[in-house]
Amino acid sequence: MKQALKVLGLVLFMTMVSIGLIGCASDDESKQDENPAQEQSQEQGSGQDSSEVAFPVTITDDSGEEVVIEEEPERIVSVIPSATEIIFGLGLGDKVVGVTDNDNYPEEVKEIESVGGLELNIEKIISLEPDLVVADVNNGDSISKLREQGIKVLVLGAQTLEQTYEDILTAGKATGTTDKAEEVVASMKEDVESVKKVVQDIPEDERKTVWIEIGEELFTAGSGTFLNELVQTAGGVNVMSDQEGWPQVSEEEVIQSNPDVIFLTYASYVENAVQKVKNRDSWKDVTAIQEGQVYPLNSDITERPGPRITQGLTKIAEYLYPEKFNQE
Amino acid sequence: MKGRQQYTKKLIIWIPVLLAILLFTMIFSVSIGSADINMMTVWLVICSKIPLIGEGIEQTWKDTTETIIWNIRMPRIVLGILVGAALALAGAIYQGVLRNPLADPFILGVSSGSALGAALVLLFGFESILFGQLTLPVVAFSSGLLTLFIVYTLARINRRLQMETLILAGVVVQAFIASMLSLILALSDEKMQTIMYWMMGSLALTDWSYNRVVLPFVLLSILFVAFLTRELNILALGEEAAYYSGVSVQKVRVVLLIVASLLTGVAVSVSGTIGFVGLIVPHMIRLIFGADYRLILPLSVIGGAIFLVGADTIARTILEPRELPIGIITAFLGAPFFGYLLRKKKSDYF
Repeated sequence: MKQALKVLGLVLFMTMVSIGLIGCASDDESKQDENPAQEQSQEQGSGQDSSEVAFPVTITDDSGEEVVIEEEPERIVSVIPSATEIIFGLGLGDKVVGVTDNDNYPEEVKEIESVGGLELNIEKIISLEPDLVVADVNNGDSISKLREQGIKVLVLGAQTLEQTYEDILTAGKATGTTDKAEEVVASMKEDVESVKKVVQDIPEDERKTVWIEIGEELFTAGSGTFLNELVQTAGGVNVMSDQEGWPQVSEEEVIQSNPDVIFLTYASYVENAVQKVKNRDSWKDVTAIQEGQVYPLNSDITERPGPRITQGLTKIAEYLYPEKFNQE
Repeated sequence: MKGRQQYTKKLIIWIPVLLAILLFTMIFSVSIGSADINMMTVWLVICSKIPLIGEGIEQTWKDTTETIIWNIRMPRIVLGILVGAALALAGAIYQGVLRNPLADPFILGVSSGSALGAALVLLFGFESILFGQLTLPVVAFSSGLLTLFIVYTLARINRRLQMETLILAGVVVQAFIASMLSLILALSDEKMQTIMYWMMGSLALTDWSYNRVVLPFVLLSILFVAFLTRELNILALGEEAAYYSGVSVQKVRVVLLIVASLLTGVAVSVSGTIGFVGLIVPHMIRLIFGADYRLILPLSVIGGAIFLVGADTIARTILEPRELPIGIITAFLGAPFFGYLLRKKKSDYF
């Protein structure tokens, strides 16, 4: 008898669990079905009359969340420098009421109240009463905390040039500045095209090989990073492109790959960074060192997925092929 | 008399054996790496560096190859030997003097102090004109010794030094320094990575200049300690026993602790805080060869060198061209092996 009850209980339990699972699964499916439709309707919306966006707008942002913005935001807090640059690029600088300690562009941001550094001060953000917070996927838990408090958070998270365009357009839609956003993106694409035009004729075997140094401990940028994409677009060959992400690699590997050009992204906060690399004893046979091709890159314009990223691209291309760019 | 014969016999057999293993490890280590260089070339390059023999060898390889072998792999291996030997010897001394199996080279706060000094140098990025690229090691070393002095002063009560008090003082000072390190890390923003990297310890990015500074320290310390092995043996038996056998307990202790701390300071200043070597190697030697410090000390020196060079070789090749922090390897390999030895030896230990 006891045994039978146990079995019955087990069966009941299993049934409940499986029903629960099926329920979840169908939920997921229905959500997936919804999304494309949503996006389509958005595109139609922006196509019909882009000059005057009719609020409310619904946006599926890079966190996968649907954000409904009821009316044009008047108080914007940006919690990531790239987003700040996008918002300012859209001409909305006067609506920004909060930025982070890491913001440094444009000049005006220094007079705007800070909401923290890498760690965000949630209290501070709420006290600023923003009607839109623009964040990055990297902000992690802070995003959900803010959303729990009923604050609208638009999450961006571009990892490529193409996604940067999309993010700018998304931000434009969320703030009722679609026209301006399209203008910004068009000018960025123009920058990219003019670089591509110059470097496209360079034959494969004449392309400069590049070592990108992120830290003195030989951390580098592999595939899937902005720097890798920028170097490639600028006609260079990243010697570590077979690695993914941000690996630390061994010194002998770098020397053997014998790069033509070396880029340093940390020169802004390490004294004499370029000179130090040039003085490395064991690197003296590397082409880049022998020809003095070691350059500091301003990581603000090469790593922030914002409107200035194409300036970074142009800069990289000029460093790689100065003769081709000076001719024009 | 019989005991003496026994340990000299053991030393005569085992020192050459361990040295042979070390040599083999070195040969293996220098032959592999992420750069694609064949064995033959590796050895031609090395032979060409030996006086007399070298002159007969003609250079058939690229300059880059020579740089990789002679200026990157070799200094790294030699530094591994020196640091491994220093940490293992220091660990063995600490364990004997403090009579505590948990003692390691970092227990008296020397490494924390060094790390704090290094973090400050990295944070403010200054390099003094006097020391140039050796600024970091010099500052790390001095701040390590300063920490030891503070710990020592704290623990000395009524002109007497209690070992338990000393360990406690070390723990307290370490905790205090750890809080300051965390503060520095929290404020360091983009330099966080560099500081973290240093604290994890690494033999990468070294060159011969580091070795030239470290070598005399390590050699002198080893020689010096060689004359004190008998005293350490008696100390390890306990204070009373030592007292009755005519050993000046206080003096020997202090001298040994200072030497061990110097060794630690030197090792940490050039390679950061590489964990586990100083704790595990002396224990391994003790488990295998017995609790005689006349054996433990010399064999730990060679054992530490083998262990660290081996671990570093794995760290730099297993995911090539990536580098792994060496601390991962030392603990990942050391802990299970140690567990195995501990299980095998069922009798009382330490």
